[in-house]
Amino acid sequence: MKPKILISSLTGCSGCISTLLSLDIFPQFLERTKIIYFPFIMDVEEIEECDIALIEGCVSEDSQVNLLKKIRKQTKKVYSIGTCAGFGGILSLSKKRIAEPVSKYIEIDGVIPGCPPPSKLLGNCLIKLIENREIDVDIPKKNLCATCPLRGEAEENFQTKITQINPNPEEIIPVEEDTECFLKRGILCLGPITRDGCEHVCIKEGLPCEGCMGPVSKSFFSNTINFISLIHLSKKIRNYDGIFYRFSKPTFKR
Amino acid sequence: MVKEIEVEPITRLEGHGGMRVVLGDDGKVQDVQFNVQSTRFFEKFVEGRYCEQVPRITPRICGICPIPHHLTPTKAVEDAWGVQIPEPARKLRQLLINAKQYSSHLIHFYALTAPDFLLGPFADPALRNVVHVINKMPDVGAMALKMMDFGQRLCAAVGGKAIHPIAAIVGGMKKPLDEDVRDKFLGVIDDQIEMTKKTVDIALKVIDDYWDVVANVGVVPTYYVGMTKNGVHDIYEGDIRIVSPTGEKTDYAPQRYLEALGEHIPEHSYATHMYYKPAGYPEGIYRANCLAMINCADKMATPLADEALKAMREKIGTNVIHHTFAYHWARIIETVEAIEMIATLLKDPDIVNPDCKTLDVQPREGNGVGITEAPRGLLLYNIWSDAEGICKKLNLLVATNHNIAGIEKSLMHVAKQVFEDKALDGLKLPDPWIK
Ligand code: SF4
Ligand code: SF4
Ligand SMILES: [Fe+2]
Repeated sequence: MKPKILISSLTGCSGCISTLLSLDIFPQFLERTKIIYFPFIMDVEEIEECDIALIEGCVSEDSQVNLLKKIRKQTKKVYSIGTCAGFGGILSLSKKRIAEPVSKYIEIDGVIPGCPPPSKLLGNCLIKLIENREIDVDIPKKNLCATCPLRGEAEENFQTKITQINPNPEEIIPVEEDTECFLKRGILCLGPITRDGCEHVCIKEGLPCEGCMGPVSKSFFSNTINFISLIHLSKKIRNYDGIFYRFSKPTFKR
Repeated sequence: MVKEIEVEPITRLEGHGGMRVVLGDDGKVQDVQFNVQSTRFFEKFVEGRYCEQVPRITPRICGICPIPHHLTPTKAVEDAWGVQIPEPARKLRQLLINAKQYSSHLIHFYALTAPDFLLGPFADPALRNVVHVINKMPDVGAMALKMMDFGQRLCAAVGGKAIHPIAAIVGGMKKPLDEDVRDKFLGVIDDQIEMTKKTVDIALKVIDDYWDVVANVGVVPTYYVGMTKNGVHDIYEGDIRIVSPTGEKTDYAPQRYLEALGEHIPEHSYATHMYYKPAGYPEGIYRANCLAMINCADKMATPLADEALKAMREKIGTNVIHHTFAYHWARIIETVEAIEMIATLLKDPDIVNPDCKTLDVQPREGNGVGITEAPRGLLLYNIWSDAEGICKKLNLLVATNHNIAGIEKSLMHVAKQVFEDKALDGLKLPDPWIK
């Protein structure tokens, strides 16, 4: 029996779903599953019993909570796809708009993080899911620094004062062998508190990490505090709003 | 009794939307509403942030058109700070936005609209989708996937990430395309052009099949908003162009947008209606997106696309086309232009030229405007910077803003045709390709 799949979007940009549609394994995914609900490309509006639900987007309205509860009741396994569904996402920057992760309202079976999730990661996870295997990407083991190409020596002792969020144009250069860690160059990078898995896309392109893969630990808050105590932020940057909670509210816990 | 017909959610739509038609007891259409999500507070929360960060945040407004939402604010900041970018950067950005245009238009054609036309409007809703099309027409399905894949890969190669790109910086582009990556794309470009031609054939056949519908349903005269560069179709840079229902054209430099584009807050709806200011409201209600772009263009930027445009105008018989169903046709013409542009740019040595950013970037106080044509319509960013380079204010006009009034106007027209004139009853519909 092919697993029955439900794909639903809450408040988000549809980027996760677009990623899914353009996966190289998407044709295989279609062949090996039976999609029963997917308003983005299908007209069916009834939610029926299914095996796997994939949810994109954060929760920002009451009606979405009802939808989620309905989905949870009818579905064997529910996964949050992307950083919005997983941790609240970019709307966390808004002081007015509610942006909560799916897990705040229903029990979920896992998160496939990223904004959007890297194609390889998402593809591998989907294959595992339809083969009824476990995915463990939502249990972060490492931060981005652990495998960073700029890592050099040790990452602990950051003496340099962090004065910049944006590198200057001349500093934005693709990584070479002797490129130094951003934090040592005085540029804020969120690698230490961001989970592994994106293959360092931004860093390789010469930009510091902004944390779109989501927090590295279950206690994002204490992790962040820890990180801030290890580095020396200039006053200007300390007063700059919304660096650390760009992709999830600081109080987030799971 | 007043009867309300509600469609919520509208399926096969990027983002969420709802539609409501209100019928009076006399069977007359009283009101139509089209509701979509707003630009989600982005305007507010980029205030107080460094201008350079805006293009890393705003792509998340829309995962279907993140590239215009990356490039347009970058252009706006460059305008505000008086930054000139080198020619190779301009070409890389053109390549990037055309790659997006190509993949997005193809997703729209094959995944969102083709199921309606290939299965016919009376097909089982459970089957009327791209999955079924792929099952029933595997050749066409495989071709569609190959084309979308090409577009997405090119977006990723030039943009750093396909969705939520990171390649553009204030002052240019981070790096040129690698030569061997360029060669890989060049190796398959002829194949892509061939597949685009096949797509055109499919589209033209569909248009022929549904000619009765195209010619008679939803023919709604409105104004149109788009952009051209000296009259030539351009999605990366140029002036705002307004076309009147009778085909009169007026150009506005992007910085003068407020003279042309007005906002009206209608009583019934929380979305603002945009209109052409000099014509007033509601006379000045306009539509955006591909048909509007086609109506704005004196000519297309590339030869095959220009031929296709001429053929379309000839068949319909006018230069300004009000046929709502011709949107699908216009989209195909734009797709042709996109792949021709991609081919030309990939062959241009500037694409691999490392001189693609200027270091002469100094924040200064002032405001700047950037425009591009996103796959769903004109996109405009007006950014106010202070002397330190902090964004003080953002005014954002996205395709949705431009389209709501026009969509409601065409919806009203079609609703009257359907419910009052029963116009659909006599229409000639083809045998579906897929049964
Ligand atoms: S996680 Fe990112 S890509 Fe996915 S819906 Fe949210 S903003 Fe879009
Ligand atoms: S480097 Fe950071 S911001 Fe960039 S993709 Fe990876 S996690 Fe996201
Ligand atoms: Fe969009």
